[in-house]
Amino acid sequence: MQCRDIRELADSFLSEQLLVETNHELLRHLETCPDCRVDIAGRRAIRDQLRAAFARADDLRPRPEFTVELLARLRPSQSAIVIPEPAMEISRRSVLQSWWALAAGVALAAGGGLFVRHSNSRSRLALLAREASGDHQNCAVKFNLRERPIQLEEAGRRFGAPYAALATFEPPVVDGSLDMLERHSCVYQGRRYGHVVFRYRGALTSLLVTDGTPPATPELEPSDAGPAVASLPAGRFLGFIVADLDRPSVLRLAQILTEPLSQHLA
Amino acid sequence: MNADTDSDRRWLAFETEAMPHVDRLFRHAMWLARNRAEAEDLVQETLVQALQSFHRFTPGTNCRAWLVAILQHVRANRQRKQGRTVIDSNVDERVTNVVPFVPPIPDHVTDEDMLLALQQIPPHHQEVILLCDVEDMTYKEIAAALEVPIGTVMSRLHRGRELLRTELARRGAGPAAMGQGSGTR
Repeated sequence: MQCRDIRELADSFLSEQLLVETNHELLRHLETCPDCRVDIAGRRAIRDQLRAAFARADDLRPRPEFTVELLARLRPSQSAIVIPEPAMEISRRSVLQSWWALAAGVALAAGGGLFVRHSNSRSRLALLAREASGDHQNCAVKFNLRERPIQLEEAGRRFGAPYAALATFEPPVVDGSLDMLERHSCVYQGRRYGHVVFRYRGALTSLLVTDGTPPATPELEPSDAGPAVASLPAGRFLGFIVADLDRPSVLRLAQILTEPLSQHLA
Repeated sequence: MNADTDSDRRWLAFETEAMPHVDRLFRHAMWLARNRAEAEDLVQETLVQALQSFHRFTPGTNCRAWLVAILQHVRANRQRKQGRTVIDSNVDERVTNVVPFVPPIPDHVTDEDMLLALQQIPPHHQEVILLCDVEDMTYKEIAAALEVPIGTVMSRLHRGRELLRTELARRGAGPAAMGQGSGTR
């Protein structure tokens, strides 16, 4: 591959759109060509700065209350609006009108809003905890997933940096008994997880990280007769510890992992 | 009771998958619309449509790309209705003629320089750069969102990045080049 080829492929290389073989050839050329390395680094620097400038621009930031207002408009009407049959399609104007009426009702109930939000957030966490428990059992224990797990590095490229960061997360040694077994990214019931499997006090234990609003502190989740589940903050992501252990041990492990995990994923 | 449970699950899935992307979605809309009220309306309509068709979303795929694609369609439909469609099919060819060389890549660029430079290049090129470099969408996803062939995405991205560098250099954002090697053509 010549320098001219590198210039032609530079855009696709930066966008990670090259075929694996071509990518390897290009990387081989970069190893021996300082000019092309500098060129690619410059292009990458501009792209990274554009990305950062966009994320930092104050005048592009939504109003702080915008998301809350959106939720208030979307939530009450969602059962009315999800109608898959095209024949029953409702005009957007009439849908929006009915939404505004419903949203007005929500506004009237705003006094109880904080309680409702807390309660919604708790029920959401409990639901996600049940799914995390399902992933632990079907992935870590039974190897029974529909979709094959992928490497965390690949998940990082496709779905966000925290997955890749999880590949290098080293949990602190707890009570002298934490043996690492497996790391990957898997999907259970439509939800993607970064999944670290290790043995803790003799029990198969899962650390699962997924997209979602994290709790403020580690908390035990309802787990019926299944393994114990604790939710924990994982940076700005949601984490779970799932294990066939007594509930206090699982909560304690979640408490120990919270800080190093959050720092690592930040 | 089942209906309520299904409805709750559907909502929770939507809230968990889609709502974390509102900030990024708004930034994108705001850049395109240049008007806060219009951007909010765009995002709202995007989420209305996303919620309506959430059963078509494939879990585990890139939800943000899916939402951005809906937003692009919503915006394009509005522009068509308002007769504001920019017909500029020859833009890539014309741009080829006005980019005589790849300028040195500036060394020090402020956020303001970067965004002003982006603003100066043609909207079609801005759009592709944003979708690729900021939103991290694949060529295929961008092609679907903009309803153009993948080849057009690639050529717009290539020209757009060159124009962006030209604009940065023109703004005097630091002639000291990190990429002097780019003189090789």
